[in-house]
Amino acid sequence: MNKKIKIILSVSIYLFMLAVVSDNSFADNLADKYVYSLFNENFNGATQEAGTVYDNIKYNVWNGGGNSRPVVDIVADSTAKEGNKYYSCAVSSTTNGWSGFCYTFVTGSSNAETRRDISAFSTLEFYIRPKTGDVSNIQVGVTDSADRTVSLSSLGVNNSSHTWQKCTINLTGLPSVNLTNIKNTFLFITSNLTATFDLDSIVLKRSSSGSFDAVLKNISDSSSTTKITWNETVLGSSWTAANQYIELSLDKFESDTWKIKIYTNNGSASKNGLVAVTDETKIIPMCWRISKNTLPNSDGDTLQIAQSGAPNYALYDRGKSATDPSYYPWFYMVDFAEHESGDYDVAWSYKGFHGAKDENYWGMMDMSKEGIYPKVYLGADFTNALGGLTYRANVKLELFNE
Amino acid sequence: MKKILSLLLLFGCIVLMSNSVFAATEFTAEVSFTSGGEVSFDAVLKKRADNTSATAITWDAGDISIGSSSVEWKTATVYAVLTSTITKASGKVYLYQNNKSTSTAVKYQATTPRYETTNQIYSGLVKANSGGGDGNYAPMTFMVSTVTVTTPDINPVTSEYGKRYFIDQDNSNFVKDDYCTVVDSQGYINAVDGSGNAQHLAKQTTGYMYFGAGFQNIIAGTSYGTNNIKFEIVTE
Repeated sequence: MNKKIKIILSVSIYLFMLAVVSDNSFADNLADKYVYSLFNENFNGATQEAGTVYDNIKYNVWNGGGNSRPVVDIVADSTAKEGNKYYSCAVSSTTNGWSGFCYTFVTGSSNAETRRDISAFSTLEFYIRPKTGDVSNIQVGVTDSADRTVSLSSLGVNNSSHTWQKCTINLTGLPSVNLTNIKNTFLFITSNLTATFDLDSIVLKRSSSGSFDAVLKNISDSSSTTKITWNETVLGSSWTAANQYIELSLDKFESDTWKIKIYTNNGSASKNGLVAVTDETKIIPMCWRISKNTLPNSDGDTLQIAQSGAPNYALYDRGKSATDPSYYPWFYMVDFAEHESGDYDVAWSYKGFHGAKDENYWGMMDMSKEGIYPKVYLGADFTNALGGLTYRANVKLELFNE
Repeated sequence: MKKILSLLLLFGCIVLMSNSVFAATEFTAEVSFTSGGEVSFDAVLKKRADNTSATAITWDAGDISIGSSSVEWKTATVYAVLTSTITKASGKVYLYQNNKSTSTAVKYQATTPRYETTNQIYSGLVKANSGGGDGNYAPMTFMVSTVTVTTPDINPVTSEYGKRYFIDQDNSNFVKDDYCTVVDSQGYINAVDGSGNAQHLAKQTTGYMYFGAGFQNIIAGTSYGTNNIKFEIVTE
């Protein structure tokens, strides 16, 4: 072959290989997350869906020797420890049998079992709520070449207490464990016992703290920007959404009762909106809403803001039906100086994202494949806005412990 | 002093620990309106009975008692639909009369005021061909609403606020203030309290105006009217 052609071909193949290796449309959460969710509705981590997402896990369950197969159902109700969902488990075993369930790392659309390195994580944490029977001897841990477990009683679980109890497993403390070669990342051995219990908020955590980030993006093209704006054509218009949204990224789990609040930081309870720079008596009211994905979305959620009449003057999504649970997704902005004691200014918490007024918090486990990065949208009512003025507000998001 | 300071510091620490902030981010939100804003206003008359167009503000003569010595407040059969857009801080619309005007027919022209205490008053409906004077006026009122009203209460006696007398630019106590302002940059004004402070309705484009007049000692065969009701639009 001509030497010159041979060289060109080699370069082409090399570039193609680089393109394939670098194409990582889906992030490897095990590699860069401080909090890795195995079953949690607010943090990124594994997904139980097959496909090209890199962080796949598969739920496995087994039984034999007279033990019944464990029943593990996802239940949605307000008693979940975090979000809306939890596992409801029922095991029924006679002596000398075996049973259990686990999460197994898999890869690709064929869900082939694989090994992953979780050595960057220091703890495996979860919540358990004992209900009936005795859970004390249940073994929990991980599997490398063998099962590496500890008992629930050794983790301090009080079988007599039918409330949520936190369990923290020091991963390096598991007997003879090799955390670089893990097959089952959450193993529950339920052999030879009969009990019912619930599980929730199953996560791996690193010893360092992680981060909370809020990035401002333009609605038009999701490009990053630095200021929340409206076009000046909104003069005299009623409620209008801003040109940007704030994308939230949470990788910090230092309190089980964390909350993210949003408010103006204008220095006065009355300045809960855009304040005219040259006349602080002129205030344009603002509002916000939070969505699990960008708007408008396939659920019919829109950025059309409307206000109902007296007595409530509630803000609603004009594009939704009045019977839809997300009909009232908009909240009036409050200023930090008002020291709101309730949840009115809570955008996101361990309960989920605050999708609609009152106690409508919703988990985001269905976003585990795309990524859990809820978006905050802002609006303002320019009915009383005046020409010739510039209006400004400081909008603050704060992560704190309740 | 030292002991007090120590206690204060301790209390401060306790407050911080109960609500720990882990992280915070702040953004600036801003909108600038480079244009000075606009002032636009329009009024269209309609009949209260069927909402069809009207060309004059009228009262039903059959509804008015002849010779009654008591003032009878009657609602006009016509109302006005107001349309306004005011986004300029100084923008507003005044309402007042000019009964002394010679620009229109003299039939209802007023040359002689009536007296209310010591004030010379030219406002209201003028008895035809009387030139005004005591006993030859029927005072008028108006009320502003942001919704249509089936039975508007235009009687100034029934409630202190909500209805306002028409005033005339030649009244000796005439002042262009909130009392004769129909709408400004904050919205339609439906009342002015005893301190002269305007009570605004929620701002919206459309408003409605209803009219009343107080008839007393009416003589059969007479007519009352005014040819000069003015909406003055202030843009600066």
